[in-house]
Amino acid sequence: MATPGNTSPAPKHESLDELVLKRPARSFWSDAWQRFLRDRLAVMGGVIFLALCVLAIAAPLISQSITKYDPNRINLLDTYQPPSDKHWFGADEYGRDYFTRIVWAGQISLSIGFLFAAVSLSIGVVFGLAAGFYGGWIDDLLQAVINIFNAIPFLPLLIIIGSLVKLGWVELAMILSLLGWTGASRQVRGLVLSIKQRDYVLAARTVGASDARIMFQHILPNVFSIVLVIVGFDVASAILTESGLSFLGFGVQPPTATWGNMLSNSLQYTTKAPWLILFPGLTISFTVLSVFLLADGLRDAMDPRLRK
Amino acid sequence: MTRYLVRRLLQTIPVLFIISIIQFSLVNAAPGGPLKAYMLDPNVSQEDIKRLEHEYGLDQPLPIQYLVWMSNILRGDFGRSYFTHRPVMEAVMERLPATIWLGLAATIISYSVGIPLGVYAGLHRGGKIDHLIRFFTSILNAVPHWWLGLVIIILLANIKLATGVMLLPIAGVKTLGKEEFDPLDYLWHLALPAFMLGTGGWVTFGRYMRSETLEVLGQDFVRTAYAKGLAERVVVFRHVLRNALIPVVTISAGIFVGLVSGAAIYEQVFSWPGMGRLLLEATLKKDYPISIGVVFIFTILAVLGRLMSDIMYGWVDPRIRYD
Repeated sequence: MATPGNTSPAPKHESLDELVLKRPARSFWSDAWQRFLRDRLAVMGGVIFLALCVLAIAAPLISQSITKYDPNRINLLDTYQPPSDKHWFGADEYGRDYFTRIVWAGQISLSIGFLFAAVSLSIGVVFGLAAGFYGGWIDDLLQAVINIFNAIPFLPLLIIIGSLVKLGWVELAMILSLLGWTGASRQVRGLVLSIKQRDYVLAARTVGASDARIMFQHILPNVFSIVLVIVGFDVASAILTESGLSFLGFGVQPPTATWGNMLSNSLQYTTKAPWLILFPGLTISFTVLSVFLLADGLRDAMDPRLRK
Repeated sequence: MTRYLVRRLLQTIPVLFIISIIQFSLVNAAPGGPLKAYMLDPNVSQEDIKRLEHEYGLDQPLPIQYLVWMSNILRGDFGRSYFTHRPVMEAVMERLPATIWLGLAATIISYSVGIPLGVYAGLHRGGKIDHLIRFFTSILNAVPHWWLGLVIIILLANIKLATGVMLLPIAGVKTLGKEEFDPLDYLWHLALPAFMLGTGGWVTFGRYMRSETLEVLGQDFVRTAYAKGLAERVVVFRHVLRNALIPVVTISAGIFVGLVSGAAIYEQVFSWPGMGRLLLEATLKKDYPISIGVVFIFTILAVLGRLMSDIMYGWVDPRIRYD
């Protein structure tokens, strides 16, 4: 017997599917990503920062095919040229094209930022994780070390170090990391202290997970979001410290250009060639501002309390 | 209170001890050792170097050298400059007042600009001025302030070139040609360097103060204060400000260390004859006894600054008890 049911059995199933899976569940990360995309300032910061990184990476290409200048090539006919078609950002006291130099300097300055973030975070996360997880004497030791580090005025110490050894960018980033990891460790420690009280940690312990497994499998992933934000602030602070130290002449040494050491003779330029002071500083400011906007946006996007 | 102070001062001893070891090993790890400058000088013979090494005790084993050096420091003797042979403390103390004045002025500016700005922005949340304050503090937070100082120097120098008028002094502590000390002239020269050194402080204070004000405004005791008919002024000054200040005071410690640490850059930018510049001059010449003396005094200043912020903390928050 022909029944109406035979002609259209499919739609019934389809409507059931629709009922069950109307919208796929969003993970924490895709949810955070969606919220990040809605934050226009943060996206702008991210795009600017990405563009600056791409420019720095592409420095050899830019040098070769766009500006046609070598960053270290001295050309005494062009000394102190103001910005023009020929030299977009002018030329310095040796007639070197300033735009090309700023792009190349970006490689060094940004690398210092990233290397500092990587090394200081590795140290900071390990210490913070151990101190927060085990407490006791490890924690006391960490707190004592942090207290001592926080009382030291670092720049004067860096000045002495810079005069003793000729610093390359790797050495500089390493020294900065050895001095600057305490901030990250304190934040990670605080977070671990609260996470280790959660039920899932207790559950993991109940089924017999080892300390290492609990730390790296259960706690570390939950610390990751704050670590990502610290990366941003670390990159920015390393760029700022490098610029100050190199401005004083104790950072990365010329002819290797960094945004900081391009400013090291700047007091002589104030009336003769002010653009030589303006452009490196503007580049530093843009970089740091874009990183701050990006990191602020990431923090808000990953903060579950701000979830709408 | 006295016991607390004594305990805190005792706690600074390990800090200074560790710094002294770092500094001592740094200088002795230098290639060529502390007398390198003389070794390169053709006028100084090998015998002279031997004699100098003996005079400075550099022929002793390192731990002995450290003990001698440390016991001298404890008696306030940081040794003598390698170049001028003046006692280090004399050279450092000569420069200390300029740095203290600069730091003090910057501290006053940090608080007196940052706190009102932050409270105002917090009370007028979402208004035009709030947006303006947030916009500028966000930007100032990212710009290197010493570079901003350079930009202002460019502006002032070029205005001077064009019109012959110097709006604000950009270098040094007194007007050229003036012999006797004039406090007003000193303050006039202090204005720009202190404002730039204080910028990091007031921007941070302003940002914190705004968010803390917002936080406190949402709390029950503020609603109660309004509900019982207190004047707006009283609520703001006695309830909101007092509570919002607490977290701000806790970040003061970091700001003080930052002021001390940053002194060298700002003194260089504004040709301010303080300890920071002394450090730069001495370190460039590899005159390490002076460098070490300066860093030691810097560390003591930073420690005192942190102590001051702890005391302020107890003053702002009466719930804190020192014991």
